[in-house]
This record gives sequence, C-alpha cells and structure tokens, in this order.
Amino acid sequence: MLFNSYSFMLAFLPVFIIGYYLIKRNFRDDEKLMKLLQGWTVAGSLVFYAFFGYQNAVVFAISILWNINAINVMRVNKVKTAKVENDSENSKCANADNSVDKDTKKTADSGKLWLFAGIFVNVALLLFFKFSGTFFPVAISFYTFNQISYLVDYYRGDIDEFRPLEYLTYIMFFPKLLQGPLMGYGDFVKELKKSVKTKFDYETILRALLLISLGMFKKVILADTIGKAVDYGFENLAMLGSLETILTAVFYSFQLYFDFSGYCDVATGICMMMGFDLTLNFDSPYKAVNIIDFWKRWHITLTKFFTKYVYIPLGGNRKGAVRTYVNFMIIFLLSGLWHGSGWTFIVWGAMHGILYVITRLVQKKPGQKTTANVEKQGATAKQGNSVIKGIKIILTFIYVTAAWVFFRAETLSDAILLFTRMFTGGKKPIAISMAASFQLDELWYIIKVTPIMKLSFAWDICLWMFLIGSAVVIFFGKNAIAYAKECKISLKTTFLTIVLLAWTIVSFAGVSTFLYMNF
Amino acid sequence: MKENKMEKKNRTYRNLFILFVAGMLTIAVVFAGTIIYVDPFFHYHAPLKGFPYVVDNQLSQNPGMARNMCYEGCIIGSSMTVNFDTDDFKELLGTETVKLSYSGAYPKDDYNILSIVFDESSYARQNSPVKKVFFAMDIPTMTADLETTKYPLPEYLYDANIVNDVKYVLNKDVLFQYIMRPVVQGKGSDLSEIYFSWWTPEYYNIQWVMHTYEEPEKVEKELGAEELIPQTEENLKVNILPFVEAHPDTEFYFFFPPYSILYWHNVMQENTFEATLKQYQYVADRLLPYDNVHLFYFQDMEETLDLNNYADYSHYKPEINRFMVECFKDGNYEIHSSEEMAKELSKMRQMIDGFDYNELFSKEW
Repeated sequence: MLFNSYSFMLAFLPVFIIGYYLIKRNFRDDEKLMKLLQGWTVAGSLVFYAFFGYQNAVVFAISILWNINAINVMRVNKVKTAKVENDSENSKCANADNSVDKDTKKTADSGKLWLFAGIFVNVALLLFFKFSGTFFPVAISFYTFNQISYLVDYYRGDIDEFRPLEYLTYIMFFPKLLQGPLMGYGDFVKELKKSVKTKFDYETILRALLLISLGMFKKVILADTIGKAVDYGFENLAMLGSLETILTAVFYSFQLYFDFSGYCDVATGICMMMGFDLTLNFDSPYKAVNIIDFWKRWHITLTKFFTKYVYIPLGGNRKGAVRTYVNFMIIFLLSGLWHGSGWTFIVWGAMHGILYVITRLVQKKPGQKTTANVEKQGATAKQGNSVIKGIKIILTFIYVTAAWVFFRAETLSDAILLFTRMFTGGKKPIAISMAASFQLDELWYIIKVTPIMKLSFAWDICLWMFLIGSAVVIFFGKNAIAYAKECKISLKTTFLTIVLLAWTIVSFAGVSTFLYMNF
Repeated sequence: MKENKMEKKNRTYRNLFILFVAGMLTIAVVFAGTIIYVDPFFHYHAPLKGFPYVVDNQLSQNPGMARNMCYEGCIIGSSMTVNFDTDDFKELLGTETVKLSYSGAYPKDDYNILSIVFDESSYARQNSPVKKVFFAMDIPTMTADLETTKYPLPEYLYDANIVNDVKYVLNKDVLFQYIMRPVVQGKGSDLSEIYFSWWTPEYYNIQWVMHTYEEPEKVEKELGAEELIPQTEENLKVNILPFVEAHPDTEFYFFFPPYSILYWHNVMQENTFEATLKQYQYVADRLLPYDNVHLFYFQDMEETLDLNNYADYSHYKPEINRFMVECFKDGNYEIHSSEEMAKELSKMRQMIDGFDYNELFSKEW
C-alpha cells in the first residue's frame, strides 16, 4: 500500500491510529500494553505490505525466517559461550584445563560464522533480485539493511535479548518500511517505549496531520507533476534544446527532493500520531555548502548505516589517509549499487565519492584529525559571508544535479547526451509537452481567464511558477518537520491542512488516457 | 488558573480537530456528490437531460454508456470503428446505436464490453433488448492472449465493487475535465460522432500514408499455414462466440474491415501470408453456421487499392464507414457460405498479386 493511495489515507491510517489509541485507553499495564501495541503494529504492517501482492510477501517472509534462524543460532551460541565461560571460571578454581578455553573459542567462532552467514544470505538475496531481472521486491533494500543492522547489533551485544515481537515490529514497521529511515534498533525500541507512555492529545494530532498534508502535497502535487516533465525530457533527449536540458536536470533534482522529503514528512507525521519520533532522515539537503555537508542532510540514516557497518569495520580513518579515502570511495560505490544496478549508479556513486575525498583533502590541515576538521569547517561555513555561502550552495547544487543525471538516465550514453545537448541544443522554445506537464487544471483554468493569457510566455507560465515556487521552498523554506513541530496551531494551519490534504487526495487517481492510433 | 489556561487550550485544539474532520467530510461529500449527480462516466445513471457531456475516453466511459444509455444496437471493435456515425445506423437501419469502440481492442476488450452490454440487470437492458451488434473482426488481434486487454482498465468502472468507486468520485480530473470544462465551454460531445479520429479530408492522401509508413522487417522463415489457428480458435471460443450463442435473438454483423493493400505487404514481410488467409477462412467458417450472424468481407473493395482513401496502411476515411453501413442494409459484400469466403479470398490473392508494390516503393514520398 502506498501512502499516496485512497486505501491508505481514507481507510488504513484512520483505522490503525484509532485502534492504536483504543488499545492504549483500555490497557493500563505497561508490559501488556507494549506487547498489544506491537502486535497491532505488526498486524497493521502485514496488511500494509500484503497490498503489494504475494510475491513480495513471500520474499519478505523468507528474509524474516532466515534472520530469525540466524539470530536464534547466535542466541544459542551466546548461551553456550556464557555457560562454557562459567564452567571455565569454576574449573580454573579447581584445576586448570586448556580444553575449556578451546570450547569457548569454538562456540564464539560458531557465533561469528552465523553472523557472516546471516549477512551473506541477506546481501545475496538483495543482489539476486537486483541483478537477476526477475522482479524487484518492494522495500527489499531497506529491510535487508535493517536485518543486517539487527544481526550485527545482536552479535555485538548491543541488543541484550532477542524478543521476536519486538524484532518483527522493528523490521516490519510500516511508516519506515518502504523508504526508511534506516533507524537503529536501539533508537527504535527507545521510541517504542516512549510511544506506549504517550497520551492522546489533539495538538499533536493536528501537528501530525499538518506534516502529513505537507508531505503529501510535496509528493503528489509537486514531485509527481514535475516528474512528468522529467519523463518527457529523458524520453526525448536527442530533441532537447539547451534550456530544456537544464530544466530537465534541475527538475529531476527537485522531483527527487520533493518525492523523498515528502515521504519522510508523511512517515514522520504518522509516527508523531503514535507518539513516536522517527529519526531525522532529511534536513534541507540542497542548502548544503559542500558535498560533506550534503551527506549530513540527504538520507542521513543511510550515511550513518554505511559509517557504522562498513566504514568503521574497514578501518575508518585509523589506518592512514590513503586507506581513509579508499574507504570513502568504497562506501560511495556501494551506495551507488544499493540505489540501483548498472553503470549509471556506479558513476553517480563515484562522482559523490571523488568530490567527497577532494573536499576532505582540501579541508584537512596537517596535524588535525579529519572529523574535527570537518566539524570546524562546518562551523566556519555557518559563520561565513552569506554571499560566499550562497555561491557554495549553488555550486554544490549544480554538482549534485549533474550527478543525479546519471542516477536517472537509462544508460551512460543517455546521460552524456543530455550534457552534450546542454551545449549543442541551441535556442529552442520549451516543448509544448514539457510545459503542459505543469498545467494542472486547477491552475490553468484560473490563468486562462486572466490577462496573463495574452502574454507571450503564457503557455509556459505554470512551468515557471513550479520552478520558482519549488526553488523558494527548497532553498529558503523551513524544514517541514521543524515547521510542523514549532508552528502555532491555529485556524490558519488547520485550513492549510484541510486544503492540502483534500487537494492531494482528489489528485490520487487521475483518468487514464492513452494514445489511440494504430492497433 | 494555569489549569484553566491548559483546559482552554485543549478545548481549542479539540475544536480545531473537529473542524478538520468536518472540513474534510464536507469537501468529500460536496465533491463526490457533484460527480455522482452529473456522473460524467455514466457509472450510476443515465445522462442528465441538458448537461453537455464530453465523451472522449473509451476506457472510462464505454462501460457506463453500455450500462446506462438507451440503445438497441452497439458498435464493437478497434479504431476501425471509431469513424462510424451512429446517425447513419439510425437513418439506414433504423437502429438506435451506441459506439463502444476500443482503439487497438483485443478480443478480451470485446469480451469485457459485451459482458456489460448483455447484462440483463443494467438500465440499458431494462429499457431495450440488444437487437444488433456491429463487430469489427480484426484478424491480427485474434492471436492475442485470451486474458489480456490492450490497455490497463480502470477496474473501478468495470466491477461491481462500490468501495473502489472512490477513485471515481474523489477524482479531480473527473470534476475539472468532465464537469467544469463542458460547463464553462457550454458544449458537449455529439454522441453520434464520439471517438472520431482523422475526420478531416487532409488526413487521407497517399503522400502522407507512404511518408509515415514503416515497413516491417522481412522474416525469412514462413509461418506454417495452420499455426495461427489454435489461438484464434481459443479467442473465438472464449471471448466472442459465447455471446453469439447465448443471444440468438440478437443479430451480429461481423465484418472484416477494409485495410489498404499496404496491409498485405506487411503480412508478406512478416511471412505469414498463407497462415493469415487460412485464419480468415477459419474465422468465417466458425461464424457462418450461426443463424444470427451476418458476415461481411470488405477487404477486396476497389477502394483498398487507392491509398488516397487512407490515413495510414489500415485506417480508412469516414465515407467508407458510411458505405459499410449501407452494405449492412442491402447485403452488399455479405458472405453466406464457406465457398463464398474462399472465393473472396481468392479474389484478394489476385488483387495482391496484381498490385505493383515495386512501383509504390520506388518513389520518394
């Protein structure tokens, strides 16, 4: 089930939230309540995911069963290790014996083996579906990383005990299931416990609804509309003029922003209703002053995941400068592959990796630790001249946008063609099909009855409205989550919520039209 | 004091929440109510008198028209049927006819719409039985998958599930494009001419046909003469003949549309010539035994040799549609037996043999 669907907004979400609070109202015992709420969340998540069809459900079930098995074996090993160590302590008192130490090592090795086996199967499953060309199970990239995170944390002892219901809630939690955030288990459980104690209050619900309406608006009205123009651009690369190529690239940057941040806003809003703070995943990324700053704002939890589970195990910055930079490149290339299969994603990852390394090299001063240096640079940037900051933001945005072209293009040659057309496309007016993508009836009808229609650029007016409006929101607007949490809830914000939510809900379906020509 | 302030605040939030719920419900009721009342896709009721309905969406509006309009005859088939003028059917055959074309229709599309046409519980059937069905038999589509439609259907307009109707009643495209637009413009569609394509004379000339023609690649291996028959048989058996058999009182006018001579060049390039002729004969042999079937073979009309009658290799001008209706009336080009069909196909073969494709392709168009 998608967030932007009638079934979710008009049936699933209201029923789920009402049920959540009914359970809270009728059960006082914290432990029992926790279990019931977890059960309700797992049941809801099952229904949510079942809408994607049985094929997806089967793959998800296999992943869950495999990981439960791996965790269980590790758990048994842990118990054995503890027992052997205990025995060892006793026998050392009585009589020294080498065989006990060997036993301890053997069980510990077996636990490690299962950790690797667990990770290996998770990664293999993900790679199989990524490259086999069969079908790509919904959310597999996200739940696979959550599984790996759980396995590693459990092995390391960061998770004290395997609680099946809690594990299922963590893995299946529907607000974060489809597009993250990749929340750590520790943080998740902390929030879950907090959620149990949170009481229903209208203010929070209103704030959550405001956030959901803002997110939905970003996704349905902005991202999906912009997406039509982007589709036109990438499907007609060979015919684009210079301006159209620039617009295509910039619009794609905007589309990704609104799509992803819109999703995060809705997910956060849903969790807010439950009294649960979802980890921040998106923090005005196009306001970043350099690529390092960008990755602290874009898909924050993915960066954290790679840092914790790949970068640090690879040695992080502890094995010299060269290894540090190689580790960065590995992370960005892996990130590229995680986002999609094919060379375009690898180039995208490499572009980010190369600039990241260069930025680190430029920022690094002899004798200073890199992390501290970066933080210092970040602080300096904040205090810096706003003009220079503006230039930095624009340059970072241009680079990130250029990299997104590879992310979106079907092939490397398509991406190169777009850049070539940027300089060779010439002065062509904006194609009618591209401009028409923005002519939403609700705007276009108003414009048609105004004197604007007499102006030479009237046909493109909606396109420019979207471009400028989006740029203002992206570069100058307040983060939606911060706005929803801090604004004064009033009649105005309630009307805004009603208008945005109603507008997006009636925009879910559309009317299918196809070009009917030859049979 | 502090408690009072808190209480007041809570009350304000509660009122705002009630306002939110009431606001959303009001919008939903007004929005859905308007759509249900006008019902531009005729999903719930017959057209309102005097409302300027715009009918231009075959996938969305055909099921409603089939269910809730008053008619005695219907036109079924692909884009070969879009240029029929239903007034011609009234004038020449005395049949109130509705056009239910699906451009590019596969047999499953025909099945879907015929199921609605013959649904006895519908408003349309309560008013009048189906007397005549005019059915364009496009041979190239008869090997399509039995369950596949040409385009994904908006299922919520085809099934009986009222829950998924939310996609119709809370749909801004329906409100803006099918209610507000015609109201503002004050003009709806002429129902007799809906779905018309290429309706002006400048579309029809050989220059345009040849300029846009894309010749299929030559297939080296010829398809066996019998190879198209099994799937054709299945499609007839599953998607078409059940209606013919279940409704003996309805007259079915099946016709093979008059594609241009260029169509046969495609067939030869694809190396399926003998198999295709066999397929035509097979379909005719399966249809002819039914008393309620009239079969017409228009492909050997002289007009098929002149590409000035076409917009592309297959789509003919509206005058030919009118001519076909005349034939439905007077029986011209009607096939009565398997032998007659074989004779017509033999004539077709001669026309193809006699046509100078080399000359046609030697020119720069």
